[in-house]
Amino acid sequence: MTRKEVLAGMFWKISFRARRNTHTRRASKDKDEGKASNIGSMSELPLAILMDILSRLPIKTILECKCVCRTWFNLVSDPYFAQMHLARAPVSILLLTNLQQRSTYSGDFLVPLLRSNRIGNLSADRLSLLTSCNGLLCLHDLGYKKDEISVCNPFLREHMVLPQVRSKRILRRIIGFGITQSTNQYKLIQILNSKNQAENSDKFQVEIFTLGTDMWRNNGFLPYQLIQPSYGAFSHGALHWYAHSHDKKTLMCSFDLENEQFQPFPGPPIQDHGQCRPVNSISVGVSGDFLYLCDGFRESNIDIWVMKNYGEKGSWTKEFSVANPLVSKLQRIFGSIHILNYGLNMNMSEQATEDAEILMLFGSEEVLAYKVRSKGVRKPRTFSIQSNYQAIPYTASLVSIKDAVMEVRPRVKHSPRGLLHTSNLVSFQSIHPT
Amino acid sequence: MSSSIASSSSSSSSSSKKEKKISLKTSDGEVFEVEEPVAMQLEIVRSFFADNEDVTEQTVMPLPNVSTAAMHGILEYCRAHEEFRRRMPEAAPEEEVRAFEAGYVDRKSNEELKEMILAANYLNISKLLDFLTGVAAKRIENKSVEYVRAFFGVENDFTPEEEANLRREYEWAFEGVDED
Repeated sequence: MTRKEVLAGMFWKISFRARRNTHTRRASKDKDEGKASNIGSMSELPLAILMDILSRLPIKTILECKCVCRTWFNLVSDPYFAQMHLARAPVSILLLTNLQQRSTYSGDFLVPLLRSNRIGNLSADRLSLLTSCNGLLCLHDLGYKKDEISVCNPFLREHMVLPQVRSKRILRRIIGFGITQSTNQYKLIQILNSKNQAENSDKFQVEIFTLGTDMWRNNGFLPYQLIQPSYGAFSHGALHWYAHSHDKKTLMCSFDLENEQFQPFPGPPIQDHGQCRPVNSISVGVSGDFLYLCDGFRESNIDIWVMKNYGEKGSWTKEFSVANPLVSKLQRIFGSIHILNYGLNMNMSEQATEDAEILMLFGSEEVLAYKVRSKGVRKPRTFSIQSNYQAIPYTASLVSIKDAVMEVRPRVKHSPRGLLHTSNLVSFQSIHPT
Repeated sequence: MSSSIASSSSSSSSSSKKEKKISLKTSDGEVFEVEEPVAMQLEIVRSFFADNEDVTEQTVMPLPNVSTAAMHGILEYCRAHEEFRRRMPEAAPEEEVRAFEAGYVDRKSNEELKEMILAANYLNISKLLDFLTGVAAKRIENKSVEYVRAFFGVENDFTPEEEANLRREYEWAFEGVDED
């Protein structure tokens, strides 16, 4: 297969044929392999190899594998297996669509999500996808008389509503979600300010929530003014943004989730335009384990900088420049650019034999594939036929909220309050870009 | 002092002298004369020769856990990769590698695949093992539970009620699986 064919397959949709009787035991003709006698010949593999094989499967097949036998059920439910799978799982785009579309696009891979009876229903039309970490999704539900932030794993059908102080006078916004490096605690951070002083005060209070605890903790004031509109880019146990310091200089900053401190972070050698920098002209993100920065100060092109060795200032490299008016326009509209498929094996040079194609998600709506050398764009088919969806970069995982909570509260035997299993209301669609 | 088989099999004796061969003996007693760079892809062989000072070029290394059939498959893969490396030392020709790998594995039955996975695991060839477990995963992707059980020879020990409950819990995962 050529590189081009691989990339064209990026928006491969998992085929979905609504047949109910797949499990009736038909004679195993084994059309795919054409070798019925082969069946059973993979028995007695060492456990480590079996886990290796299973961890390469898509979530859908893994969940099926839970039904194979008790041993497999335990194997696949183990947090260690979830980590093995996560390490291999491709980044995809998670689409939130409404129920009507589910019937229209029955050809897609859809995960039914969430309706709880005790907490109340998620309101399909007023639900927004905020951010995600390791397959755990952070949602905001602004339904009728409701304003809830929750964390869920739609694939495991786990859902947990976070405690919040509800007050009309206080504005709050989630700005990041990540996991600490050594203690494996999931933490969310939000910023608050009260409405009456919102106009002239740029003082935001920072609060932190550790999954498994029951309250937000005050963490003082935000020392910077974040100029990047999207969520902190999570990498190496820290969240990263582009920001203004108090003396109006621009800088990159990070928030270490372990020690819960904001600090300056070594940024790329780009010009400091200070207050002259247009809104939405800069964006920080993570792709393929690399921090990147999109600098669109000059409207004609966007420079893509990549930090090749995390934390090393000198390793920032201007990897390529996007020169396409549509891409520039979308950056100014949405601000954030999520690059989904950057990797070390991509050859960005002008001399490369194949034209690398970079997949970009703008805000939570527009998806474009940009060809680095020919500088052209195309709209992937899946997104040109859909309307009314929200999209975020997402890695489907088996990471369980229960296990994440147990890291913090090992003594609690039962599932924590608020963690409920739920039934259909909203559809999630995961599109694998590999 | 180089192996006599190596020099006799080649027409040009001057060039063949440079090519060292390593003798590997499989579980059923067959001895393979393998070009050194190919044999060194087998981590177990590389460390055997690196760690033992008293081995010579004549030493036949026994590999009691590898059958002759599996050895043929392993060497075919390693030789092809050595060839790619020799031709393009900087970056492997991706398209060719993919084409070779696809053709290579198409011809292998599940039984052969398993034998080779076990052999690659024992010989510690991480690249090949990685490739083969990926192939095994592809063969069960989106298959029914019954197919997966048969493929791995696993006995179902759930009660019908338990299995029905599990299937209900992850109902969507069971929709649209491939026909067995």
